Amino acid sequence: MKEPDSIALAPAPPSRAWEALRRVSLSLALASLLIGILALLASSDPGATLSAFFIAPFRSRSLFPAILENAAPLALAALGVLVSFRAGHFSLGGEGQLYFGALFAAFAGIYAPEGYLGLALALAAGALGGLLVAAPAAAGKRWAGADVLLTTFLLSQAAIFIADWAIAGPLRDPNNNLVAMAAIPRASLLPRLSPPTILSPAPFLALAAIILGWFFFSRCKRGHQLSIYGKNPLFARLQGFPVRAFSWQPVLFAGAAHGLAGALLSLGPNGTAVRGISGGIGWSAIGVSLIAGNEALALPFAALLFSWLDAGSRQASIVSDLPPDAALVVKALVIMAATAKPLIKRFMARRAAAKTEACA
Amino acid sequence: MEVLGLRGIHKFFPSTATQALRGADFSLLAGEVHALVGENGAGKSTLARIACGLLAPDRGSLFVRSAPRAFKSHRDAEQAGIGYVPQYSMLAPGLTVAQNLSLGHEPRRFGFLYDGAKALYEAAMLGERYGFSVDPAALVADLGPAQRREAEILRAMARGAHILILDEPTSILSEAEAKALFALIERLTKAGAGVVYISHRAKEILDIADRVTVLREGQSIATVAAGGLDECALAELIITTGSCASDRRHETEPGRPVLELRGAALGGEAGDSGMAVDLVVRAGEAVGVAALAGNYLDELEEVAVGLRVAERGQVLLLGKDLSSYDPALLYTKLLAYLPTDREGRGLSGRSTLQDNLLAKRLSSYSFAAFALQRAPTRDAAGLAAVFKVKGRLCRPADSLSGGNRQRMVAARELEGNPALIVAANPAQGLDPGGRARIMRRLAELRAGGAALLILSNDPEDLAELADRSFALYRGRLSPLAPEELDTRSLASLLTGATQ
Amino acid sequence: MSALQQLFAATMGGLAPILAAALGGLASEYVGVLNIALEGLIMAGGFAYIAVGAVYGPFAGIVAALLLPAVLAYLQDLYARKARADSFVVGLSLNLLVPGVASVLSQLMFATKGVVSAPALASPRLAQGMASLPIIGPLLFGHRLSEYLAYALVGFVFLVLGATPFGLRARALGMNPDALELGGLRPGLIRGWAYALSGLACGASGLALAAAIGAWVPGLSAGRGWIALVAVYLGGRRLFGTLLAALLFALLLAGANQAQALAWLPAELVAALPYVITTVVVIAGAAIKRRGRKKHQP
Repeated sequence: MKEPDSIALAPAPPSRAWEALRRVSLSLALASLLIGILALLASSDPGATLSAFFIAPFRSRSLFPAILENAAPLALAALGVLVSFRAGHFSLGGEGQLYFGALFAAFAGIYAPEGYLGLALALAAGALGGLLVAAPAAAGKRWAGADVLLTTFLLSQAAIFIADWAIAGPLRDPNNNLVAMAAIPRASLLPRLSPPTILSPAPFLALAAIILGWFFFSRCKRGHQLSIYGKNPLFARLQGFPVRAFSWQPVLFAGAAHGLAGALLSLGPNGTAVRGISGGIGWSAIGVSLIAGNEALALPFAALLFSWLDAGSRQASIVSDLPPDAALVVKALVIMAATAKPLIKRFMARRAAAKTEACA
Repeated sequence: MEVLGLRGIHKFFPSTATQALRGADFSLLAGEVHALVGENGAGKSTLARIACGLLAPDRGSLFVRSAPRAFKSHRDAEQAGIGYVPQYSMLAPGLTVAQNLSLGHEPRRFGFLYDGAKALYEAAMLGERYGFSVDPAALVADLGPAQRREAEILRAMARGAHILILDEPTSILSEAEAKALFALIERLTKAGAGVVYISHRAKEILDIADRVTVLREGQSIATVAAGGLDECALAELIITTGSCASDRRHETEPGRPVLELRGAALGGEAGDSGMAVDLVVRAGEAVGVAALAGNYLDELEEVAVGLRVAERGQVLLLGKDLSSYDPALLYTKLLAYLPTDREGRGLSGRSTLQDNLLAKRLSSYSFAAFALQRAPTRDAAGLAAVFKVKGRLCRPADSLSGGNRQRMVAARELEGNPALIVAANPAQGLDPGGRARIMRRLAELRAGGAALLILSNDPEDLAELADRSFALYRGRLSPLAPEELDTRSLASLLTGATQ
Repeated sequence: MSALQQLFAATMGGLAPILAAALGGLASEYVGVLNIALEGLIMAGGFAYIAVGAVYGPFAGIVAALLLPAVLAYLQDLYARKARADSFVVGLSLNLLVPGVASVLSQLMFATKGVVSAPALASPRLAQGMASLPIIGPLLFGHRLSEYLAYALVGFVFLVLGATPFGLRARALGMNPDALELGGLRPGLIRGWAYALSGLACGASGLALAAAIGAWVPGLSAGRGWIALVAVYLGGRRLFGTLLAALLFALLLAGANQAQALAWLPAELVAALPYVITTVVVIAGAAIKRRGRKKHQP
């Protein structure tokens, strides 16, 4: 049989990370365009709206650090999503796992000894909380082969109701006007790095986790095996990979990552677990991972993009009449565009840099 | 008079990078049964699907009663009087037979409601007209294979087809069921219909066909009158008979048993004791099993590599139950496997070529060596070079052509010193150079003491390598003595010509 | 009215939006692609009713509430097919998009960032006098016009899925797309119409929710789209099973509301119950399925 000999002639493709970064910048461009359209159509003062997105964050001393800070839980949750997506598991339970993480972290923060030990315990408790919500789904996958798409989502919904109950009921601080738990002692919260702003070490923690994630998937045997498993589980089995473990461990890891992200919420600007603290971050994290093309190195940028959209729309709703939910419109359309294959392909194919041969 | 004509049909499938048809011609006359034969992958089914509007050809033209036609969907073909009975079921399993027959032509009540009673009645009438026993009210999922086939045939005839295309209709039928089908075909042709009959089975073809067209690698190489053929001549037409390989004897004496199948049931219809297989492959010998599609070769492949547990009997590797092995040990050290289903089992299409090449030896790298990536990249390049895999290491394996994918799988599986090699259609998609390379490597490993089980649709693979050979026909193994291993008798066995 | 009478009345009132959305989910499940955007489509229906109704009157509101989600669902599927995007991801983003657009539009049209109140659009209760009849009273009478409308839509979708050629084709598509091809039918078109039907049913659900309170509130659907999806699964992806599962959930939710009077049983925990039960059912179902397969595939 004659074989087409096109491979040798095709230019070497850019690496995956590079491609993913390109996708994020396309998303940024699209988001800016959409903001412009929204400002013109939906705001009585387009100038103020636009400046809230494009000028204020870079002028105000507090806004940019806030964008960084709020990107941290988003990025960490997105890392959990990325790991489970790479392993071929569609985990939808982020929201409830985050909420439980926040709840557990607040509980530990309140009752553990004050100071760094309390902080460490609270972070660990947060991870544990998220893990607990994911655990039945992981067990169901491991022993029954139950699809985690359904089970993670169901468990997350149940967790949301239970956490709602706990925060509004037995754990509520009656002296607080908000429906919230008691305040975590100041010394057990994440330290503030430059006090007028809310910046804490959280973004650096998230960045470190993401770099570890990148290292795992591009430079570790297990990471390569897991990626292969996610793409073709039967092939992975025939290569002798530990497919049993791969069927449930990523689900648990995603739970822990979301829980840790939730802990950052409680231990950061909120100061404790507030009712509804997860606020859609679980869903946004899925979007972040998709826009990053499930590529770890692109995650921080995608998370910053979403965090910037949140901050910009919040700011715009203060200075103009654009509602904060406008960010949702932009996010949704950006996610939709990012998943359209032909669209992305056309943009990517324009400039294929012929250089690297390493597979990182 | 020609009722159906196909001229110069080309068809390329980008997803598997195969050129299925390259200028095939076919002509069906009124009142004849015209058999379409060829090896697996010769393009028979593709040609059939083009003739009935399910696929559009890349090039070439189609005539119905001498008028040029271009079918947009099967409905167009249906209106032109073409009925199609597919090789694999195209029925909705959760619907009843009557519902399936009515799809696209549903009888209605009040103009918008589905008239189930009428559909049932129509299906029953149709069944009666053709003398079929299938219950129109039964769910398709509950039907046996023969009844399912009856339902497919009824659907093809429901719109009054006068050109019927049957794609391996008897592969899952018993003799009696097949007889009933032949009676139907005879009735149809007497009434002036033309029948295209795709099959591997020489005996059947000689029984019912008037003419035979042979496809080979997507081209029509001959059209002959069936009357002038005997079974063996036909069998040779179906199967490519290349020159016998020069070197198939070898020196080493077979050693201890490596793979043993003891009364292992391959599945199929319950209680059929004929499906139980006894087979022993020893160290340093090559055992070949040949079969055409639908004869439980796939099941034998799955049982031999531990993907399927035999319903009865034992499967032993080196004297121990195959299912008791640690998968990591089994698949990275003991077993090398070239699967028939290359895309599903032999590679991960969206992973890089490097990941695919190194999958088996990943665990041999130290943490640091793998993190630096220099040794893995060098090794992957080395492996690719051994089998001349053309492609970039960082591109997904999907981007490789079919032949290069097979080289890649071979490069990974045939390194090291496996105890057992299960090679299913080892030369699929390869040019003569690639084929020779794989065959040479297989022979080397056998000489080094590996047990080799070759499963193939292509007797030439067996002739070249196997020390002992079997033909698998309808789940039964028939041994072949060495002197019997000429292509003629093998081909006869495969097509059931001597049964 | 006895507590039981009240429970019946509340169940029937709560069933309308859940059942409508569940049938919407089933329409997409029939063609083999789970529509994960039920939640967003319900909100689209509810917002369209209030926004259009407030300007052009209730009748126009009803028409908009039914048509807009249907069009949206059709476009959603069209985009997924034409752009070869993952229909699952497109559905997820629709769930984000609708509340965002609703928020922006309510700012533009009504200059409010949250609730759009339109008391005139609250649907009247019908035949309240007969509601006190034992058992059938609360089941059949005294419900809102919009709820009867939702039930009418439920009947329509039920009929289309269960008794028309289209329903048959949709089911065949979900089981084996090849079966349609041999019927000379185009799978893409049938998938698109099934999605439109899904949107229509969700619109009826949103209409019932918005008309019950005469207002648009952010988060109007309050998870009913998800409950509806769960009902589809729990009901074995069949018409009557889905009906029963939706009824069970409506009963549980109505019970949860009534239980708010009971101090010892927090309403949130009752609300969590359907999800916990369904998780157990899903895992148990998978376990049974796996045992059936185990004979052949280790």
